[in-house]
Amino acid sequence: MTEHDQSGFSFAEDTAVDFNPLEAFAFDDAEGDKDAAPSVLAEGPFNMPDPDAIPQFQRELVAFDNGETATERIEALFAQMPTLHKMLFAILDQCSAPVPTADLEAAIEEMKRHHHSVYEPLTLCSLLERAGAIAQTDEDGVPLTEVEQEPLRVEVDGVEFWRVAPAPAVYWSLTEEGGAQLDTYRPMEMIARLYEAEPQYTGIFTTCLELCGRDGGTSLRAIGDIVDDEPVLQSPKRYAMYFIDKLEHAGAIEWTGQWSLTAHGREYLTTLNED
Amino acid sequence: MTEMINDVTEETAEAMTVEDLAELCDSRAATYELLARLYRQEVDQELLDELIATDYPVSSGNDLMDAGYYGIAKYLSNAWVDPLMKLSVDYTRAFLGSGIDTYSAAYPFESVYTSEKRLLMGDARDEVLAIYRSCGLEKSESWTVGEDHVAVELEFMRVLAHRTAAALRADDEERAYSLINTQRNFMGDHLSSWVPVFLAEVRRFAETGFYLGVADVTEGFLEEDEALLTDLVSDRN
Repeated sequence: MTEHDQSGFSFAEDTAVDFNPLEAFAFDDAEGDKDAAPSVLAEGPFNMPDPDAIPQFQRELVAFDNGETATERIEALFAQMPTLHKMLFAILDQCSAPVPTADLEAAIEEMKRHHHSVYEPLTLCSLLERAGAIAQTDEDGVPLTEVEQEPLRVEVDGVEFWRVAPAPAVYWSLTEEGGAQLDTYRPMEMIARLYEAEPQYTGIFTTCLELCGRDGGTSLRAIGDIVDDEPVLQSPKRYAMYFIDKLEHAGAIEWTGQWSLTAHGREYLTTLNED
Repeated sequence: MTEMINDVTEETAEAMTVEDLAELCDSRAATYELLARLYRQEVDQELLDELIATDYPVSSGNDLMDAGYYGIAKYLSNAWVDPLMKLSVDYTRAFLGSGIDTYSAAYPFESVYTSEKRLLMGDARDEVLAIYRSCGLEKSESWTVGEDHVAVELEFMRVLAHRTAAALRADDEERAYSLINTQRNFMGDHLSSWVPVFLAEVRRFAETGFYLGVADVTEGFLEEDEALLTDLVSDRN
């Protein structure tokens, strides 16, 4: 083929030449302005944001303290912290009578010794306070939220100054709604329901309670050595941890370095033995 | 920080002895130091103890400062339980934020307020870094963010105020004047140009009376200090 001989080609009539592989993905600019996100900047200097244009996040759907009533907030808080129920109920129980901040903090630290948590003691108190379950009060249980201290106005060398007013002694007390929540915690009934729900394991539950009731508690291995070969646990196959887990959630036993009976678990075991 | 915040604003540059002026510069340096510390990081126990032990002027001659000092004293008078945690949370809310846009907090960097897209490490940072270096200052190894952070700019003013006091006491009037002039220029070119806008954002994001008070004190103090520096320079001229 010579340089000028192009008879074998016809670009002008070849429709494939106009094909643009990216065309299908191109944005349609003619309609673009309608869908563009509005600017969050207000008119004026410094690019200050326009509060009305800032996107609203759906925080009200996830924040427990957006509940309207204390009961709703407490319910939401407990629903959002399922692994800390025992701790939260224990704090409520501590606050049944006005308790000083330092004592409450020490009690929670003691509870945390065997239940590692990222929450500081006073953070847990603060969550319950925001929910309306407990409140900062004075020694007589009068809420301190109604007390707003003014700084002291003092005069030094003829010049007036504001001086930080000394803090009052802060106690923590249960609110009415917190008391109602505490009333819903009934370990004795929860343990009884365990027995009712799985009557075939009555003996296993009782054995676990007895082993945990020993001085100093017992280990999972020790419980497993005794119960794992029981015929009732062979089909379906169950291991000791299944029962430990249920008893712990019911409030009958707790981890204190070993598995030990709680006061409720001991009381239930005593009742069983009497029967 | 001194146990008592001195009233630096009532005095004027007129009829001041050299020692008076040196003391005034020391006092300004102390206030800059306190403000720089408050913006640099969260309040810790040591600072909280100092803040509680401090007496705050009732009448400083500036309404914003008066309101700010009262706000700080009132907050501390009512912060009975776990104030460090509450102040840390508010510091994070006000200055760090957690959003995905550039409007989730009052970002304490000059570049954010002087660049079109609110970006860090902009021209403002280069400018202030050049000024620090021209004054023989280098950033500390431990400082890992931009040099146009409000705490660094306030700290720079503290260093210059301190140097001014030393120059005055050494009878080096030329150097003292030069330092005052540098402070006046830095105030006009940088701090005054963006800190009021930054503080307006602080007031939007901070929720505790403490940081709202700090914002008021900062704005009031910078107003007064700018007026003072302008007075001192014009007196000299």
